[in-house]
Amino acid sequence: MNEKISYRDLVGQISGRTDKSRQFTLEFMRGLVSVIESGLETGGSVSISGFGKFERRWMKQRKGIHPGTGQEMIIPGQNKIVFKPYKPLREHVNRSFLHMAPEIPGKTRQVSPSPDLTASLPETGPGQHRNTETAADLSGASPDIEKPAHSGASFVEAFFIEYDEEAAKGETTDELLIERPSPVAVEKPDLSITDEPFRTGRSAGVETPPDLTAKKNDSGTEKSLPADSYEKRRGFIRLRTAAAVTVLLLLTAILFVFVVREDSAVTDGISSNSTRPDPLIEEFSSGSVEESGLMIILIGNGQTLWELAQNYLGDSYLWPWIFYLNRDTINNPNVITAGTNLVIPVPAYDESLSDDELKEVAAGYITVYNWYKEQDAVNARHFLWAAGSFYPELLDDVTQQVDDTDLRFARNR
Amino acid sequence: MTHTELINRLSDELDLTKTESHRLVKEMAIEFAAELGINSGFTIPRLGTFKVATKAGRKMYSPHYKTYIDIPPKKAVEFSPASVLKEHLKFLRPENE
Repeated sequence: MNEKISYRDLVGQISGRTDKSRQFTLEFMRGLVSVIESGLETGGSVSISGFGKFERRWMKQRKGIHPGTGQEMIIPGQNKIVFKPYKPLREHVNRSFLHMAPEIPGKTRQVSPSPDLTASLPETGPGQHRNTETAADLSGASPDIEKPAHSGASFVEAFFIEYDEEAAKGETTDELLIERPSPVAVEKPDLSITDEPFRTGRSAGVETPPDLTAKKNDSGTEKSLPADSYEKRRGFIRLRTAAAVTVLLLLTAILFVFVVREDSAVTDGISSNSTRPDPLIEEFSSGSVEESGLMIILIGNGQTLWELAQNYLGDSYLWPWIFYLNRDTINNPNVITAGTNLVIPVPAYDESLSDDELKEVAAGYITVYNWYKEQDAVNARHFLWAAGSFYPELLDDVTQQVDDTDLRFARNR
Repeated sequence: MTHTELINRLSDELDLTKTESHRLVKEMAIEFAAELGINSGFTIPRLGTFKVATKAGRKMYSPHYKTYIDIPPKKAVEFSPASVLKEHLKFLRPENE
């Protein structure tokens, strides 16, 4: 921050802005000050729109202690002049801190893969990316879980293969179940809930009566005991839990298909093909995701670009990005119509945006700048500055299209 | 005194049209805001000094989240009235007393 500007320079700048002579501006300022003074004298407050409000506040008589002598004294009632800046001024002054929002410790989305990470955005746009990250987080969060044995097959697939085998042979498949990886769900975060019941099933096994565990320990190195009732029971519990979860998943997926696309895919859904859930989920995703990284939403009543950016992108200041993608639909960035469809970008779940995404945000700010420039708004240059703060190289590309003074402002700010 | 009253008084005293005085006040306010955004402040004779102060970030207990949250630093506009103005209005009793 620079030093204080002198009154002389200030008057010069105002006269330059208003195309008036310096003498006129000086007289105007004097007149304004006297009006403010008389306004405070008569009314108690003077408001200047977009800037702030001067107020005269009466401080009551009170007792105080003289700091020098330590004697008690009476401070008479008197007026205090206060200035309360209005929101535009406060926001303008705070521009350099705009990117900082209050942070709640332990609630950052990167640290803990909470269920709402996947639940909040069911329309997995660039799904692969996020899935792998969630997978990494999941495996990192539970290092004690064994590595997948059948790496290629999904949990549901593995379950069905084993279930069929068991039904055919009529005997338990304990060894398979023991070696079966619980976190196969890492392949699909939507299935990650299967992890939980599976583990509870395992823990239920641990909490069995001591005589059973003793029996197990006695068996020692002898590996498979098909007649062992404890093993049988544990396998059965797992099978049942897994079956219930899978059926639930299948039902949900089928329901989605009914709701989203009224297709002929219904009859196929009943057959117990183990790979069924994956294509269904993908189909559902593709219903609302136009192409990779974009999503179409219907605008409701009272929604704003600012709010959409906060909800979908996690940062309100990315709203020009949405405006940029919908520049054919939206004429005025301050007004969006309820009932229209808007394209919303789905950024990857990273700490920061990628270069291409930043470029789009900056392009959005330049679009907003151009719009404001058409409206002859004086503050349009700030949007140019914002574009530069997101992607400085873009300012070099648009030198021909923007105002020189605005460009200088954007670069030197 | 509302903004409209201010404009009316100003246009009466300086013999300007209301549109013109409105434009001038608006441009002046924009210039003030821009200056406060770039520089640390300015003084207007007989009115007072505007300053921008940086308030350090701190931790505060949030009753909603039941935990301490980080409040980022921010800037605040501070105004200290000119002594002429202060003395002139110092012992003016409020209307309702």
